[in-house]
Amino acid sequence: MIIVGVPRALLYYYYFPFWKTFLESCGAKVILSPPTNKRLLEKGLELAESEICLPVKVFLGHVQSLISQVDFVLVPRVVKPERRSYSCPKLLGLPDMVKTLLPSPSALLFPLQDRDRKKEMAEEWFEVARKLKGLSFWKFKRAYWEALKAQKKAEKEKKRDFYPRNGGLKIGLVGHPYILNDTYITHSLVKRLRERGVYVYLSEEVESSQIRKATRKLPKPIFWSYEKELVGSALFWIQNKLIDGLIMVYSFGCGPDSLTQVLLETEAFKYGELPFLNLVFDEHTSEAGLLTRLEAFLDMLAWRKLNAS
Amino acid sequence: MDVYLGVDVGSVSTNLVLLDDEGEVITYEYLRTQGQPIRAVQEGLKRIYSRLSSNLVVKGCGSTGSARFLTAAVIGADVVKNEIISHALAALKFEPQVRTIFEIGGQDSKVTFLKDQVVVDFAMNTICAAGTGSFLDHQAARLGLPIESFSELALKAKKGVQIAGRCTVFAESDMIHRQQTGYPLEEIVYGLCQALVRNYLNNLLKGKPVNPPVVFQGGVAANKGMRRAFEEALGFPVVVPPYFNVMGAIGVALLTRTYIQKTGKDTNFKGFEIVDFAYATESFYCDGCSNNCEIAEIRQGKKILARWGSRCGKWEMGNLEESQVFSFL
Repeated sequence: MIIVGVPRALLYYYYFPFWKTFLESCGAKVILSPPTNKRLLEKGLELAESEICLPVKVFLGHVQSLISQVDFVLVPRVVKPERRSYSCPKLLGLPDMVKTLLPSPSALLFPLQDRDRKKEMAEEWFEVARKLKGLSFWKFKRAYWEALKAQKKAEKEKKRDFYPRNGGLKIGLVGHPYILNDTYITHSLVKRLRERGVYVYLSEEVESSQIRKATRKLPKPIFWSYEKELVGSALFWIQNKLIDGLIMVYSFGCGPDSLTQVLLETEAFKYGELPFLNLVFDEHTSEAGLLTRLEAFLDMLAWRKLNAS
Repeated sequence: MDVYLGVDVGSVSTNLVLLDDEGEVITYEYLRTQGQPIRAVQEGLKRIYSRLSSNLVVKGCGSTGSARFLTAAVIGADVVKNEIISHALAALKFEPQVRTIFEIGGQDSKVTFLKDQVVVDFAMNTICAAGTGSFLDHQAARLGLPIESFSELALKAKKGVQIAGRCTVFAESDMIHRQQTGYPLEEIVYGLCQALVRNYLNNLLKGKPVNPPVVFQGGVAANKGMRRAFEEALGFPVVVPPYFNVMGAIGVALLTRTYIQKTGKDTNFKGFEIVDFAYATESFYCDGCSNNCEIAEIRQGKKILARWGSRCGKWEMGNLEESQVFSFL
């Protein structure tokens, strides 16, 4: 049986349902790299070019850890996650980066994902199916369709209703899923907040219609899809007064987020001087800086609330 | 007399204060941490003890600063609180109407906004420590000036020369360039202050309005050139409080005082004897999983006081949580 490895990093946190369903329909066995740990990160740092952002470095570590145990590693080229809006430049170039930096490029599968080029996308995934087992065109079509459906379903399941609620602090956590879900990079930020009794709201839980509505008033549309989701979800919480504070989590060296962060900080201030905290993650292993900021932020929210009541 | 002890151990300086029952400062000590926080705390306590009359009773003690947990383990702190809240509480004591606090320390800089005596927003430098005390120290040393005369020199300048403040590496090469082309030293020094202030305002404030009164505190507030540059940039005076360099310690001592007075609890303070104890710190790698966490351990003789550093929590020991004392404010 052919084994395909999927790095548990970056776009895994968006598209795994699609990838897994498709690969398994092609008769492949899918294995994941382990959750990020020190060894993976160190490997990634060794491989990567120093200027690149941390999540890409982590990703390279994950690919490296898979390479010896699988027949293929899946690194799709995600160009347009939705129509007319792009994924970030480093993600666009991800397959090329992996090809250059890792020793056995023949073991890579890098099909296209692009909402504006559906035909080419399907062709490239058909290519993958052929490499794996040689599915007939009709079987491929069915597998592909099932995979897209699984993806849609998984995305829908993440959405939830937000409504004003009393008691407890409510914090909107803005950040790419590949950072927020990586407990190693973020020192279990989400868990820490929840343990403190904070209601944590995540961008991926917000309906896309709400995101579209919330970003309508911006002077111009946001160029990158993932950033649009981050900004839109945050604006949705801010405009509807659903949160007590906003935390933006991003990695040092992230180009798009260096812009969205300023935009959000300004918007949060405009709407009732909503407290805003920036948390920047890089290769630091010490959590002291994170803890100080987090403690102070929670204290401040509690203090404000105490004063208001 | 009942007193309250506050200890602030930061990257560069270690500060201790004693407050009386009314929250007034009896005495304080400011010394350099020099990479050895425990020794700095012991030395500070020793100096304070030597000045005390024997009828003082420590009713409570608190710790803050980046080494607050370590300090708590050593002194037996009743209250552990982060430096942002501590600094705000101290600023409120000296300037009850304060709206904005500029705080520049050894390796961090922050701005805190207040409204109706409550912290409503703050920002802290992110990854880069450009423009903090360490950099000024370094530049003073490079020019062969004690940091005190560096500050005086900046006041003598008629104007500052343009220096890039975005990054300390660029700032330094800019300064050298100016110096090699014959600009007077005081103008370069003041130019540096202006660059740091510009960097501070751009990086932390992000266009948010600065409302007076502004309190400027932290070790760098001793630098008159920085104060002048802030006042010129803002167009109104900034207040440097009397104990500007030990405000964190004052803040946590105030919080401790309130906490002890309201709960009537007995202090955990281990007493001034600790200045003679031998502490050892050790670290080792845990090989329980592929994270290979580095565990730090603090011991007093054979007794383990605290241990931390593991991601899964299996080695953690001692006080690792901040005190939840907000209902006492």
